[in-house]
Amino acid sequence: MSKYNITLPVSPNLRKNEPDITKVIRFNFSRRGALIYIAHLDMLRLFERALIRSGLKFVSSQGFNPRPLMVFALPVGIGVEVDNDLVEITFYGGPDTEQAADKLNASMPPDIRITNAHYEDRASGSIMAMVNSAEYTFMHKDLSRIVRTAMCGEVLNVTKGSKGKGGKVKDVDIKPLIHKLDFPDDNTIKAVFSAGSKNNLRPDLFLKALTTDSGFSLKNALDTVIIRNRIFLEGDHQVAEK
Amino acid sequence: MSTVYIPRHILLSVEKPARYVGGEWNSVLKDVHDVYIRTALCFPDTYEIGMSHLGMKILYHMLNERDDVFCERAYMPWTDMMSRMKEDNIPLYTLETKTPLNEFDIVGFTLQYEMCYSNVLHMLDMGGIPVYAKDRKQDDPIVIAGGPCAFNIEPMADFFDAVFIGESEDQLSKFSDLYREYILRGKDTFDRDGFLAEAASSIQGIYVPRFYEVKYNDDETIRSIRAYSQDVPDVITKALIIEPDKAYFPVNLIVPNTEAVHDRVSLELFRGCTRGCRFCQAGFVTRPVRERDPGLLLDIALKSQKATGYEEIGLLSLSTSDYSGFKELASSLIENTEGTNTSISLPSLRLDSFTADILEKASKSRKSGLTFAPEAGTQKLRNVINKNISDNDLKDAMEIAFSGGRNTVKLYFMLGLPTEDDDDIDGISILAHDIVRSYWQIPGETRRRKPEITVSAAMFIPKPFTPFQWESQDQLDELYRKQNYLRDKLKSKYIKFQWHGSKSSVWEAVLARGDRRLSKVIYRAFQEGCCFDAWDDKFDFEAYERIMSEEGLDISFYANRKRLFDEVLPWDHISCGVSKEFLINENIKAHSGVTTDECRSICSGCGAAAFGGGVCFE
Repeated sequence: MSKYNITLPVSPNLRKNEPDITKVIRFNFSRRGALIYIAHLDMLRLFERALIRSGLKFVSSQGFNPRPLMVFALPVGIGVEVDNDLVEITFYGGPDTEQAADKLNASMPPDIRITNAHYEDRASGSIMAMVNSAEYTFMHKDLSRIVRTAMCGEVLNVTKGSKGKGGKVKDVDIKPLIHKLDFPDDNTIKAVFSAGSKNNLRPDLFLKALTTDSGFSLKNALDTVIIRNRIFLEGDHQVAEK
Repeated sequence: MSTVYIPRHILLSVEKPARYVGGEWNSVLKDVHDVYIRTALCFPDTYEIGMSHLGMKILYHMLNERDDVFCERAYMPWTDMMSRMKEDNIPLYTLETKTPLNEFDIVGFTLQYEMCYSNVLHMLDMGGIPVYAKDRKQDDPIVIAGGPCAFNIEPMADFFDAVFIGESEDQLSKFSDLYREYILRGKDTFDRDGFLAEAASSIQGIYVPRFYEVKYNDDETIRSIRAYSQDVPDVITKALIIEPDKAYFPVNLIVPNTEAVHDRVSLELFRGCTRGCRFCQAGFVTRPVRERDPGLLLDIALKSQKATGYEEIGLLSLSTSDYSGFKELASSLIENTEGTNTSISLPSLRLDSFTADILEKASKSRKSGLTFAPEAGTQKLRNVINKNISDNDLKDAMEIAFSGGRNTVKLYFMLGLPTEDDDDIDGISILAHDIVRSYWQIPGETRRRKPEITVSAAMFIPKPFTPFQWESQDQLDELYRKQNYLRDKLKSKYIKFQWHGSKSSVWEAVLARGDRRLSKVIYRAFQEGCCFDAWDDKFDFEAYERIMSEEGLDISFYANRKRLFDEVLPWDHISCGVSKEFLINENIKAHSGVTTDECRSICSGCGAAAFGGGVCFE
């Protein structure tokens, strides 16, 4: 484990009581059950409150409205189960990673579990900027056939934007954002999509692209189970050939 | 026993599905086979509002401390979810085990405001429970209600099996004990009416509406309200916790998964209010004031904060700064949360107790707005309503606020108060403009921004158990005229004017002092799809107007009619401990502009001393 310390601005009264050393811990976590229906902002709040309940000494941002220094690698949408997402949190001192994970788990609703924790020692940069792709599993009756058919076309278009807010509606080809597709059985597909700040394919948008007037309906798309298996960071893996 | 399954496509096509799935921190799960009684507590408004309510959390955790009870929660689904559930025949279910409401033993509603009544009927119906109490059979749940509206439950009397008047902690415990006794004798032979009669006769403040007969005069007023049987009390006196320090108070409060309206630790400093503002129902029905020990409160606050992870502790009570341990408590809270992100919020401050000290404490927290309630624009009218603050109190408070670097102030007023004339409305405008002027008089270096004064005007609604329970409400067109009059007077660009819906104030006035004949109106409104009446964009006043006239009832009979002191009021068989003589005397004093001192200066003999505790014996 590295001894690299990130020096952060610390509010004056905290400085008195806390050691100056701060360390970033990267946590892997899963989310299932009822909690797949909460929005990203609610996830942030839930983690914040769990942090406070855990009694761990986390570092907060400065300013009038201080927030814990906590960065999620990739926001997760409503309805998406998570196997292994990443969040980085900055702590004072160097809490034992395993203990930190245990304390957080004890302070979280059971539907969210910390599965791993380790010190993150890179010199700079946000974990968000490092995300390049994500692997998903989709499950619905006959999904393999539906996806195979859809992928036969030159392009796979999806309508983006909303008509309501006076926004522009346009068709976008999402095929270039799909890096890998596996078909473990008739009802399951595994896929690797572009993810992160540059190119990002949301899983619900992929399902929307599969919908047709007669076959796979919007209701089918909404009923499709979505699991995000993992997030790939730069250097984690070579993007596979299609 | 059944579990409701809600398909993904429904949850993913409604707004904020987190409201419908449960799984919150500190929510309670039990094996349903391990308990004798399954209770569902229902809040007849959205999850975000219901989860802000401290009372329901207290009862939820209190019941779940018992091994023999499993208490779950249900909230009113928003209209999108409601229609999806109806399309797919999904019954209303509890968040903990997704069980339909009709499979519970006891289903309880908390009634915080009259405008939630139509929602109650929807929740019963969606939960598979017969809406009318008389239609419920042996194995249907016992449907109960409590909360401030229980004090005049008459418009909803036909829908509840039992109504809990007053503070419900002890009542609900005893009710559960008695229920267990009955079902242990055999669930098949459960005697519904026998159980309700025994509850009504043995537990304080339990009212079973169908045990009472209401007779009417030819002029539509009430002739008499009498119990059919001698076993139940003629007058039902509210229950209360006389020693709040000994009352159950949970620290492991449930924390919502999506933001609630009041998303914080609520710390109840005391119950009751010493002030006696003559329009305020809460101020009379919660008498006498009973304070909690500051040391105990600090302990509860810190433990709750740790158990919930909330970053805000809100001091909750009818008039927070009247708490005699206020200074100690506020400073010790601030001291103990120093260096953390936790903030302290102080709602309901009185103008005459607002000091630089309090402002400083509030400044350390993140809240920026200050809110005060002068309620009326002139000293004359403030004397009528017994809101004993002066123009100088207001001036001083504003000076402190502005010198302390604040620039936004919100002021609450009421329009349509008894004896009000246009001079009183002018007074609101003069006050507001004076405040703007006083802002420009403070030293320039303190004024970093422009002043923002918000004048918020609600309509006066006469409420039962207040000295104004006999008063008339202004007619709708008069309310509009007063609103426009005030709006035109508030010329300054630094003053923002907000007002409360007049039509909903009229309907609220009808329900607040309504009698049993309104049950059929509420029932028909529910059948026609009226719901979320407390939401201005959902409230359909014209529907209620039409149903009223179709049922041969008159809105102005309930809202705009001045009652005589000797009229039998629909709630005369209920007692909150404050005597009718006292209220009559207060009404007479109001009309001659005479004020009444608050309880701590001198006892005015309201009758609440009969409860044997609190401020009456300090």
